[in-house]
Amino acid sequence: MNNTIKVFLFEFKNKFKEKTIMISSIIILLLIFIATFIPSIINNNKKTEEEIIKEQIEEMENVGYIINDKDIESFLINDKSELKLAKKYSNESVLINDIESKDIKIGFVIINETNYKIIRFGSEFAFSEVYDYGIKDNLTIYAKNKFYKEHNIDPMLVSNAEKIEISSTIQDIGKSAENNFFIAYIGTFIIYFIIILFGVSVSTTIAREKNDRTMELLITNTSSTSLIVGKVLASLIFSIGQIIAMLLIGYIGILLNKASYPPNFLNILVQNISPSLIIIFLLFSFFGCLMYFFVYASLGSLVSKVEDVNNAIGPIQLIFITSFMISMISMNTPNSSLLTISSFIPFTSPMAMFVRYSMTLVPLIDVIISLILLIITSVLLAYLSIKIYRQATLNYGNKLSLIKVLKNIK
Amino acid sequence: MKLELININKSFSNKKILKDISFTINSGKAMGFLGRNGAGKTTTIRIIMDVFKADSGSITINDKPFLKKDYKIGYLPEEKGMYQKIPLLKQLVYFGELKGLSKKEAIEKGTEIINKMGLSEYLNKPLSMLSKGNQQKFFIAQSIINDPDILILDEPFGGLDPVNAQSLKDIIRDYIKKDKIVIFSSHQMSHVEEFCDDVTFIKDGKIVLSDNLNKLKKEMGKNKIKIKLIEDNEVEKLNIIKDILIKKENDYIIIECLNNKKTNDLLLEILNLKLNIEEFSNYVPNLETIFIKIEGDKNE
Repeated sequence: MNNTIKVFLFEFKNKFKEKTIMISSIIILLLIFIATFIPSIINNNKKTEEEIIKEQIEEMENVGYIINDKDIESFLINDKSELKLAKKYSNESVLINDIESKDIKIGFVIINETNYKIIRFGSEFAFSEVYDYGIKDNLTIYAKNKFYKEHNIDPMLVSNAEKIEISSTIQDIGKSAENNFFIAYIGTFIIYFIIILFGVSVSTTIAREKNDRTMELLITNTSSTSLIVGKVLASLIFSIGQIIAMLLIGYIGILLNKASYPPNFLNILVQNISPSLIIIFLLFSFFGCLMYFFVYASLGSLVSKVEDVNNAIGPIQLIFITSFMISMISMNTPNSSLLTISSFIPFTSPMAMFVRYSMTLVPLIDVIISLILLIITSVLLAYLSIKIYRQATLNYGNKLSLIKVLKNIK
Repeated sequence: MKLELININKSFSNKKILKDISFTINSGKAMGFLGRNGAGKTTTIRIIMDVFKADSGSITINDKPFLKKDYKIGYLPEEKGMYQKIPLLKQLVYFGELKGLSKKEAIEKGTEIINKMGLSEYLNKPLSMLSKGNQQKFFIAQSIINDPDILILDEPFGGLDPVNAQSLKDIIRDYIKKDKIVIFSSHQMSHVEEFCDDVTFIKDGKIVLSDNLNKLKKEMGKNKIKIKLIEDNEVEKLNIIKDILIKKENDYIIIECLNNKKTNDLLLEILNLKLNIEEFSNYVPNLETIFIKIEGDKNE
């Protein structure tokens, strides 16, 4: 036990000197911090009225139109319409010529009140919609008014009838999956990032110790149990610290930019991030990391060269990424059987249970069963990993077969 | 102290690696543990170090079961390495702590050994900055940081220049003087011969010989004399002497008396031949010759 603590402290301190870990951690913390400033950045970029008018004038210099009907023209071109700033043409071929010579970018030919043509030089984007400066809406009003007049219908009456609105409110009994989507998304991403980053780091550290033969000295100075447990715990505590840092930096960022956030967004956060949700998140992250790190550590011990680590950890990476995909996909249907089943399977439950718990009402017994299953699996895998590690650490040469090592375990 | 291995057996994947290994090592003497690559030396050492459990057999110290945790052990493996990017003192302190020293003791002892090894300028520099020879010195420092009761050195002279080799020899002699158990394994027989009072030969997982080196030399040199002739072609004249076996070893001629022939009689006969003899002595084989002979005998 004493040596486990020594290994833990040594490995933990070294984590701060691992460039990959530190750079990735700093980048992700910075990204989170910057992301919290987005609403403030957007607000600061709001344009003044003068700037808007200036931009509008510049834009309309690139627009031309032809309206032969005087009534339609007086309806469409007025002080309030943007088109008043556009170039007026009387001849379509001149308009086309100007577009071709790129004097203007787009032209509108109003044929009658129900039909108009847009002329442009190719399309910049596939499936792009053309902004028509309100021509379609205004022509619709014009055509409707004409119709009412012809049929002696009071336009005000129709307008009032169209204003009738049916109102409805949603009262959520339990949790709102929609409101908690953001929380589930962020939480899942954090668990994914932490396990991938630190899992690979655990494997690489062990493979490197075999690669440079440090293992030979370590294993003769302390037990393999102390070594693997110390290393895994160091990564675990560092990663939990990293999770807390991510949450804190996010919280500080939101606090600093509080005024720029829509009040509704902050309300959702305050109302839905309950202490129980945080406890569930931390518990499942903790045991999820513990279980995966032991697996990563044992797989890292199977190889003797650092460059072989990726091959060795391939199977567990596949399982973990599948688990991540299941959780992400299931966020659209949080009550699905897939997510429910996944929330009980230890390899998927760290993320799936968090998604389920944050988006739906989960019976406490489900959480307890899932957690117990995760803890039991973590302990069993830890035991198996120690055995694999002990078997594998002193075997150098080609990559060991996991099946062969498992067969040799007594 | 007397460390004794008794009938140690070990198999891996149904392949028997060690077969009834038994030998004794006494403190105050160094024991040369010799054998070719793959003979079973490292597995035996790993069993002493408690890295592997023996399938059967026992290890005792002063006739009581040997428990690794009760003794301080220093080990320098043949295939070794340490953290390349971590400063020397820091990792020496780590290994010292793993060996049971307190942090304070480890820092003090680590600094002292690094200075003694002439590596003080690298105290806080990473291992990767050291030359191969200096790295070897650092590995040796790691093995003695806890002032071990049992010191196991596997190829300790690899990469050391003559000056550094001499420093290491002084350290080993110091340990022998302190009445510690020293197990020494090397393919450089001259080094083994220099330190070791006893030698144990292992071959294909079996102990083929374990004895006092001087006694062994005497036995193997019994009834043999060594001469050096001024003129090489005179060796033909020796063929007329009966009941002898002539072998050439470098510039010397080794003559073995057969069929109870006495060396005194042989000497008289050689003198009668009136050869031009440059050197003449009893034959004492060196360790290399003994090693080759043992390996050869067992191959036959």
